[in-house]
Amino acid sequence: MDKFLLRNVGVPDSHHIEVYLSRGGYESWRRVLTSMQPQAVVDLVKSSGLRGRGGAGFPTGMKWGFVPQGVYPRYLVCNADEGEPGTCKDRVLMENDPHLVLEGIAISSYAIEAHLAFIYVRGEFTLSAERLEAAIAEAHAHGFLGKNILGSGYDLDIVVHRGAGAYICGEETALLTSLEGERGNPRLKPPFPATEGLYRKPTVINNVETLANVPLIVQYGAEWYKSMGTEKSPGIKLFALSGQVKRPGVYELPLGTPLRTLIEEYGGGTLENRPVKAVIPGGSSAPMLTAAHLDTPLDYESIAAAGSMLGSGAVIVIAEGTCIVSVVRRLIEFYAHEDCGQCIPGREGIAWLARILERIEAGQGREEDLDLLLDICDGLSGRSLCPLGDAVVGPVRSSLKHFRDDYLAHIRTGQCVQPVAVTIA
Amino acid sequence: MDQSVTLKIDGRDVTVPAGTTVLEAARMAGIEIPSLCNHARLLPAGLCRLCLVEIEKVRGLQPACASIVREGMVVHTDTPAVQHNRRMVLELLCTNHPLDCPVCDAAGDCRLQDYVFRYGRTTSRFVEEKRRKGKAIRLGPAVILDQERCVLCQRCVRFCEEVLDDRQLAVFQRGASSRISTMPGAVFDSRFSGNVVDLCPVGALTDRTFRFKARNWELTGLPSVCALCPVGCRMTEEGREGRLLRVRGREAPEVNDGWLCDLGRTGYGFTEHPNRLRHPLVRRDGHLEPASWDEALTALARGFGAVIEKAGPRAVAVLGSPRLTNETAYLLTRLARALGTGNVDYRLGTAAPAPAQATLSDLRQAEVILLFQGDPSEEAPILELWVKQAVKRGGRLYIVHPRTLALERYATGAYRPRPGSEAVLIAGILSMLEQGKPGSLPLEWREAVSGLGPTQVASLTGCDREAIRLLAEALVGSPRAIIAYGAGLRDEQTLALVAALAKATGARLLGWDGGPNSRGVADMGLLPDRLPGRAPLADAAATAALERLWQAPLSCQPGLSATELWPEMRRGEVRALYVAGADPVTQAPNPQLVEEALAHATFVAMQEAFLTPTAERFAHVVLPAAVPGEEDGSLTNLAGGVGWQRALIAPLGEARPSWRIVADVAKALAAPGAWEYADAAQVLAEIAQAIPAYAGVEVVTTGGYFDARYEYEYALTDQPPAAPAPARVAGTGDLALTTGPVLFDRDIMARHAPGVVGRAAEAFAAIHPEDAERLGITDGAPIEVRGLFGALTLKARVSGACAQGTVFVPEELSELSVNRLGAQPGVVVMVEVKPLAVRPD
Ligand SMILES: Cc1cc2nc3c(=O)[nH]c(=O)nc-3n(C[C@H](O)[C@H](O)[C@H](O)COP(=O)(O)O)c2cc1C
Ligand code: SF4
Ligand code: SF4
Ligand code: FES
Repeated sequence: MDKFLLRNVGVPDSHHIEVYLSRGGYESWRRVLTSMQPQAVVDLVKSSGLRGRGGAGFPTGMKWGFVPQGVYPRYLVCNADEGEPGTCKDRVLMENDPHLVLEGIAISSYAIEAHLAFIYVRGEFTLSAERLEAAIAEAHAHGFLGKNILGSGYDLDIVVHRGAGAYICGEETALLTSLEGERGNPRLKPPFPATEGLYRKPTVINNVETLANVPLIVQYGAEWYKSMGTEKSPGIKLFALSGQVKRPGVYELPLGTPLRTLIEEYGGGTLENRPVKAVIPGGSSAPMLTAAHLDTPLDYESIAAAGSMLGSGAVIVIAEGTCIVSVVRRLIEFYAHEDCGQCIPGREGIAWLARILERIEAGQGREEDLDLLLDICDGLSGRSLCPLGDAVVGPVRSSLKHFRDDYLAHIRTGQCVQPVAVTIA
Repeated sequence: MDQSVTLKIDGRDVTVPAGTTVLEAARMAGIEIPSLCNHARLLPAGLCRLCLVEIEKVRGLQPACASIVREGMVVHTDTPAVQHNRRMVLELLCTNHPLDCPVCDAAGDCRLQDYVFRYGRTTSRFVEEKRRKGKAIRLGPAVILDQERCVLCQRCVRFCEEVLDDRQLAVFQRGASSRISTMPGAVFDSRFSGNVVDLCPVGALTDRTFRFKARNWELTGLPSVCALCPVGCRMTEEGREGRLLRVRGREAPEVNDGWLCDLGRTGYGFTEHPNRLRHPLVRRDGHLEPASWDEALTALARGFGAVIEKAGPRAVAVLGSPRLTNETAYLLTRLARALGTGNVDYRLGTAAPAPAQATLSDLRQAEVILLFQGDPSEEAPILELWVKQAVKRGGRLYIVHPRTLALERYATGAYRPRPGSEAVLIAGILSMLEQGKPGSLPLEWREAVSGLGPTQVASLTGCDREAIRLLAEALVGSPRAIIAYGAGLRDEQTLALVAALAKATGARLLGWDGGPNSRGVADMGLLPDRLPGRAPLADAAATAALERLWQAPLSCQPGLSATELWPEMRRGEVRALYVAGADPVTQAPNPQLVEEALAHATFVAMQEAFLTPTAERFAHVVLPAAVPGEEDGSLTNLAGGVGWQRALIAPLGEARPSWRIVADVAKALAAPGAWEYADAAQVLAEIAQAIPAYAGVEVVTTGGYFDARYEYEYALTDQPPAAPAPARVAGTGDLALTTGPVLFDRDIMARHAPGVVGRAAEAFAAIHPEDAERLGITDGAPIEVRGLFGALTLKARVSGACAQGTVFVPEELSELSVNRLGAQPGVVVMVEVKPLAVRPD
């Protein structure tokens, strides 16, 4: 199918403004500045049905509409912290098509009447940050950023801020705290960022991919956008396919594409053609699905109905022969390591989960540990200060639901009984 | 008026003011919601998640501490999910908690213990090994941290951030490895550090001097007030078996709002100091020797009796101190006047404070604050917090002070008039007001300031003319302006001008000096020209009322002030002296004169807790006095609030409460009137009769608290302010001496407390870098400072905070008396400063 989000990826020197311009870049920005009021842009995005691609899938236009009337300054923050295991789509955009990201930020900033925007780039993404900074300089030189852009009277500056290696800073309020120069702790909500965000001013936070959709919607229109995907999940999505597949990578597909199509047609099937054992369909915090769910369409509603979530669209494939206990233990270790430590459920609960899982994997488990794991999950989900608690319980609960036998085997035999004992380090 | 909101909690209708949190609303309704991280005086943080409740129509459990009530809200605090959450949070906390309650200071007063008992599981499902973190980490001089006991509620961190605005503590590392610490290599040495111990809901933070001393349930406590500085913080004394072991802050929004400075918190260690006087001493053959009370009082009666017989009552003088309680000061006044002498005073180089027109709550909400010649951080520490709070709320701070204060970073304007020209600056502002709006000053004031044009003021003070104008504008422009003057203002003339400025601008006055109870002692009439209540001696009605109350004729002759006293004593006109709580040899501005005078005295009696240099060399009789913690008594703080200080423990040895000693002396001297009092409260009841302004003050014991504030109105001075001239200059050196209290060295008793020792800097003199360079002085090197009556050897502190051309020497230095240098009100003393060769040891 045609590529939109990835249309420039693979074109030589695609990160330079000349290439971007030669392929129609910044035309949407010009159109907005010359012919649209901010509210018209908000309405356009609202009617396109675009939903946040950072994980929660919240309707973007509606989010913009939450900014309180008459309160200035306002800020736009682009969440480029992409740290969720399995997720690697934003990086492709930033490295290969930084101007598309900038154009999306510019139009969105205009829509919410912000004059300063920040891109919070994951610390490890050195090339992304360099490319964005170079692109910002080019855009300034071409008059697409700065004062009185294209003679419109509108001013905008974009600042790249590099993270320092904490996954939790991808959570929007932690990101804001970090951006303010503090330790990146999530904040209590309410107040929500839209009313009291960065420096306690109204702030809109959007994911890189979300913002990259905006110039396309301006260019082709809301109807075009809605013509793809499903009714409630319109449009296109980047899927980051990883795990035990032959061709892992980032694929652009309309929402609603069946999971099987992504894995088999685009990913070339599993390694050694082993049967699929489990699929994590939306980044590491999405509950696991099984082979029985392979025909589920990849859209927000269908995946939710199957008991998981589309999240960031990172699909992790786990083939038969892999020990689920090992997978979950590794994931929870990651969360324990990345947890900020502010709240008790997060700090102590996740650490305890990790230690129980380690014990089970090492053959020291007890059957009652499985109930204990679930009870700790109950103590975490919906109760931690930030949504990390909910992220953590996804893999634990779903694996206990679908793969309890893997746990019991470890507990009863004291060792891993998977034919292909893949230990995940 | 605030609106109120009605909500339902557990089926009960609860009406609370708008803006209340659900947690607070439940508490008001008598419903307990357990909470760990929340604290009434800190912002909600929502960290511990123990307080989660169900709120109808809101998804998931919500933190009660951070949820604001809404009309019609329906809250459930006892659902299975809420209970599960509490059990879970507590179980999670216990997983890695050492559970070493048997040796934990907090046991018995620990939220974790209480909540696990009430809401927790009885068994643990945790079988892994507990995580290890740091134990017994000395964060600073006052506070020790056990990271394993810490529940990471961050109350300590939030205190540093929100109250101190000084992030001395923070969370380091993350997730389960998170721990509280100081910045690497830094020390938690805030003046207010001990407050985090009170805030810590568990036993993670302990008080260095209290830890391992007692179990909480063995302690008895009494609400009291701190007697170590003019703020008079409301506190609780706690102890066991006759020992005062700890003091903690007590809620009192109008005073300290629960906070204490570390001097107050750790200063009471003096009760157990080995040098305390345990029995009366009587001088025999030139030596002070232990004696019984009877012997001492007999000797005293004989000594004073002989002088009165030979030279009349006016040959007797009484010298009190701003450290006395109101009861002691009142009885001293009464004793002097009953004996027939007006030679009573307590001021050694200070002025009696002017009436307090502002409360401390006013200060916290002030729009404009002029801080004149005072350093709250050293002199009245809690005020540092309140000034910061005012600025945080948008208030503007102006500072007039010879040094750069810690608070200067909060100031809109800072003025450093040449030493001795401070009064000129104030008069200059008055003159500016008159020029700006002719007729705005009373006629008789105009003269005082008429000669001072802006140019002249600028050149006399060295302050920028425009900056002075901005200050004048700020004072006039705000209905909530406060002029706060401090211990650096020592002379009546400047005080009169400051009071005039307050009156002219509508600003309210708040002031203090170095003494903790100066205001109360002055109110009690311990002044040569005033009656109790500060009525002038000529006030016939006041005199008659007092005579009736005291059942004695009283001497209304103006007496000698503590400045006039010494020459008269040297001349033999004054022959007997009774000193209570003062040490003139180290405190009076002219020690040479004082020593000569005392050497001429026929009889000197003193009541004291320690053997002071004056007592050691000159007293014939020394009576051992109780110290705060051992005696009841009231103290009037800088804002006119009266607090009741309580005796938690009995006086050491044979020491007696100070007020009782005065009564015993009066009886021994057969002073006219009745001197039988059952207790200090009875004396206070009499004070309430004697002084109209104290009429409402009584010992209220409802709930064990005693707090009262009284308002009084009296003429500061009957004279219009005098035209100021730059102060007289004395001494031959080339640096002007400035002095003032430093917190941990300011109290002659508290500096001996184990928790205080080591916190005051080694005796130092601060000098500007350029002066230091010119004089060949390096930071930390020994220097000699030579003043009017001798020289001190001090350690140089080269600091830009000290104005060029001045040298700062702390007022009270543990072992040295700065009065050798001759600092005195209204005089600029020029001292000589030179480096001392370091002797090779
Ligand atoms: C633990 C955690 C990590 C997150 N990390 C990211 C991230 O790396 N990138 C991102 O865009 N959103 C992340 N999110 C989601 C953001 O909080 C936020 O919902 C998102 O940036 C909003 O943008 P969108 O509406 O465009 O999706 C994370 C959320 C949580 C709870
Ligand atoms: S769950 Fe709690 S401890 Fe963990 S990241 Fe969120 S706020 Fe921090
Ligand atoms: S030391 Fe005490 S006050 Fe500070 S975070 Fe730990 S438990 Fe809380
Ligand atoms: S008291 Fe509410 S979260 Fe701690």
